Amino acid sequence: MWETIDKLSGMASFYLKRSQVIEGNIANADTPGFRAKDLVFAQELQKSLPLKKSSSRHLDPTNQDKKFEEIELSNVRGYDDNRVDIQEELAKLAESAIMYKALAENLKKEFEKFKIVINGR
Amino acid sequence: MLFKGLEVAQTGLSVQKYRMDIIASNMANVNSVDDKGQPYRRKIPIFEEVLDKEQDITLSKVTIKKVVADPAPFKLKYDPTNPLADKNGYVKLPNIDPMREMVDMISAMRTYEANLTAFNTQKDMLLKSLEIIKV
Repeated sequence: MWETIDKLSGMASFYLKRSQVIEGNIANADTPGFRAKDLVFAQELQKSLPLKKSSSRHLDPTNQDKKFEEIELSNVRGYDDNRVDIQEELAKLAESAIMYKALAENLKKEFEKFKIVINGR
Repeated sequence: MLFKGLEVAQTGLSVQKYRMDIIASNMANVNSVDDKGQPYRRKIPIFEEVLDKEQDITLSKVTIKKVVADPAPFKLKYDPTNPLADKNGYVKLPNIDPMREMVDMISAMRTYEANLTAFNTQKDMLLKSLEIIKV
């Protein structure tokens, strides 16, 4: 019954945290030696960087409590070894904000459905 | 947790404002000497990342680590009538290039604007989540 709401709120929480990480990058746009960070779903990270189990006693890499993973980006390099591309960060921030708002809107709709059922309209 | 994003953007705004103050002080002292007769040295702010561990993620705030004096040599001007002139008639002037300060000022302003955009975006997101309870 709460599956959709759980999924939506989990996603919304991810985008809120991602926007906070991106804000940290923008705040450090002039910090020497700073590396830009991003937040990705742990499962997505598994796809790009598959962890192999070489022993049956290893923990299952696909079954982790950690839902998100913080990664360091290393694509740009400024003159003072600062790695923040402010245009890219603002674009990612806008993307996160739009996704968050869409998810919030969807959550609202989900609750409205409950209301319709309860009121019998 | 909820308002950490606003805090991060606010530290960004604060350091850029502080940087602007230092640039203004450099510009104002373009011809100054200190009480020992030595010219004013250009001040440079050095920023530093501050890690803020927050549940499963680490946020990067920013702060001013220190303000250092620019070790670049002073400018020399031929002015034999100046009381601070050396025996060859040259006066040492502060190592400040007003054009460079102007460029730094624009850079600080743009970064300030980017932080302000980030702050407003975060604020909009939080306000949007308030609408969920207005069902």
